[in-house]
Amino acid sequence: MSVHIEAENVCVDFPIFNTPHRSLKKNLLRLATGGKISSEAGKGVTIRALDGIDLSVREGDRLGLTGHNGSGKSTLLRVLAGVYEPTGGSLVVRGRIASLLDISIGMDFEASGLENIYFRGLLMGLSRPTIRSKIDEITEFSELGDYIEMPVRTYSSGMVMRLAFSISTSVEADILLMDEWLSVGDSDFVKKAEDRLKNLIDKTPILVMATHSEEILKEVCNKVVQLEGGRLV
Amino acid sequence: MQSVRVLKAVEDLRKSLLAYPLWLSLGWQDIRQRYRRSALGPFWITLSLGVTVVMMGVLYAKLFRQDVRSYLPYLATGMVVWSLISTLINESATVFIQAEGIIKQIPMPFGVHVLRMIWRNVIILLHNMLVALAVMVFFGVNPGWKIFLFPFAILLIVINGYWVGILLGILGTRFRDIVQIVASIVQILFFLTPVMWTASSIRNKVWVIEYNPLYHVFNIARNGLLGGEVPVLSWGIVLLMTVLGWGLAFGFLVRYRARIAYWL
Repeated sequence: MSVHIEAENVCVDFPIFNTPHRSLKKNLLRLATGGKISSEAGKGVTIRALDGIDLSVREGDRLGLTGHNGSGKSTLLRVLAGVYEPTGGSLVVRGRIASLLDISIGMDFEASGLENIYFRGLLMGLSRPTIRSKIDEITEFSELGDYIEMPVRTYSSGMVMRLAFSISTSVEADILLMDEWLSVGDSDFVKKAEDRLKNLIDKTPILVMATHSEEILKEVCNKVVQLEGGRLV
Repeated sequence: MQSVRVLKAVEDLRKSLLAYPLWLSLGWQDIRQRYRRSALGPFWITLSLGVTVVMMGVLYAKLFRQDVRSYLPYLATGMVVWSLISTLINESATVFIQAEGIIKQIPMPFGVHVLRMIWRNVIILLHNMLVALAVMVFFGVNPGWKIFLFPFAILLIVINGYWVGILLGILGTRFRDIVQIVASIVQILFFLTPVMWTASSIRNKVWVIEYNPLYHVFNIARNGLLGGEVPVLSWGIVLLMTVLGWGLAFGFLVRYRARIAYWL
């Protein structure tokens, strides 16, 4: 089966819990009191973050998502990643997903850089032997040198990002999800990182990326869709 | 629709078990993070429980007019088991809330977060066991072959911890008050369960004792360490609790698994 994404009428509704809704006490009291107002309130407020999304992404597609803040780009990426299961419609995603949505998630600042490579690798679904085989390459690329043995809390913020970037981009997958183009480090490293990212994208059958930058859209993507208020326009 | 949900819940549990390198490492990381840069490290767990047990043991042996030689091993084993059970229950209610960062970024089976919490508490148990073993050796307590039952008792507790984690985890994520409610209930359970006092010291059998499932959990765990007659009834009740609890928690997982991320 080839790598693809097939979304049909995908909807995502977020329940909004104000404090009264979250509390069990309020729910029990509502049972006891009943009445029109409370039953109205019982339905709760939901926000439709994605509304009837139809999407078909095939091998070789580099799909760019554009739209204003809050238009649903990030939500759509998370739905594709499998974090949120659609509340309506159907979604089929075939292929191994690598999500570069938050590259520093799972970092333990008290642990060494080396340990963090393991943590992050395991979180991304790699096995220990696979991670071990990547360690040298990651260490070298991040240019951390002996610092890799030191606790991450001793790193500068640029170094943390370099490490996070090097780990996240060492994973090969079928579908790559990105929220904005990743750009880290000082000017020398930025260039190096860009090459690495492009290289990774070239090897990946499908890329879905949310971005505001026209430049990157032109350069990287061969398909663009615009989101507005959770709908494709 | 329903069959898909059931299938996904089963997959969640299966994949969680298979992801053992992940939760083993995350659980360790939790412990190491807590005690990093301290000289004793996780042995602070051992030390603090050891001090508590000796102080309480001497004091309560006097209060309850009991022989320290039999009371201290009783209390030590009770406290070790209690600290496992109470943290399992308490941390269950926040198990998904704690993992919010990961859940919202990286898709993974939800059981992983519960297993991470359980593994973390098993590591703590292993440290606490040193206290119980030290007390047993010091007072020459020999449980005989029943020591081989102890790992099974712990295994049952852990299997129960898994369903409690799923059930309370889901409820606690949806209703944030659950965390506080659970904490109060656990506090009360401490006094209703024979941790410090012995069931035999109560002349008229009180229903709260026998209908308290934790009483039976303590029976089977203590029997493995202190010896005595094998409490067959308690084993049966704990097994029954395991089956019923899993049934309930599985139902919850089927129904609400996909909602957890939305409630965070």
